[in-house]
Amino acid sequence: MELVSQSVQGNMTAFRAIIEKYESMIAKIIISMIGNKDDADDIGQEVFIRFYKSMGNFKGEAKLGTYLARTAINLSLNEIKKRSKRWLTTTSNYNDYDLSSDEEANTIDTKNIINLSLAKLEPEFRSVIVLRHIQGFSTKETAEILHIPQGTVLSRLARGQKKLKEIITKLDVI
Amino acid sequence: MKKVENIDQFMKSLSNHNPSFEDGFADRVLREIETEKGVSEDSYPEFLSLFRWIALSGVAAIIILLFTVYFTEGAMDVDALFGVFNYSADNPELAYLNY
Repeated sequence: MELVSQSVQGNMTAFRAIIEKYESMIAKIIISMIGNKDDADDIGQEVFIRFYKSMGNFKGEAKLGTYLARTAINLSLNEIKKRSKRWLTTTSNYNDYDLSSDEEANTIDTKNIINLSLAKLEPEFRSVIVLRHIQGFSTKETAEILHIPQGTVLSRLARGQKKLKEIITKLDVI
Repeated sequence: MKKVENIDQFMKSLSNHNPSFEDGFADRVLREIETEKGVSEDSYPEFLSLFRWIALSGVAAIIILLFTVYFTEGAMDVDALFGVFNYSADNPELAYLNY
């Protein structure tokens, strides 16, 4: 909260410290959600710019990390919606990997398997998997971020994991 | 394709998944904020204040016009506003126009 109050008073060094503290968390969430690094960078900037504009109203009722994660998830979901409206599939960013080509397929490592399988997961399950497994938020925190009951988090987590298993089985990587 | 051993290993590898932004992310955010600040502090309020003055001048002109009409014509109806308050249909000037 100290950094926030200093930032509200116009201390940009304090605001830089906030960005540096939460940058990796926000990157993990957004890149895992949307896959495309360039778009993720823009959305990441938007997360901090929105916070900068509204931090005067930030009362600290939620943890700053939770608050920023919520903004990151919401902006990522908006981006996914925008893409589907443009008739692009959510997996379009991963089409560079031609799984039918053995040569290219052999170069795909675990990281890309994660990207591929997450991209094939519906956004509602993806957001839970990203927050719980990739970012490591608790069930309670995930529920707060997504504004859903903890029971829903747990059921989406179970279904998401099941779907992930089906996806990676189909990808023939397991 | 490299295979993952089992689903548990895969779920474990999710927690080690650590993507990051390109270097200089904080600089890019701060630069963007400075740019937006520049826009909002310079151009937008200037435009707003200009718009406010133009709008206020317009309102003042309309009020003056209404007062002028009221004091010269002694009434504030549609005829007075159009300047035909003292004319009737059989007025020679209007009859000439209709002719």
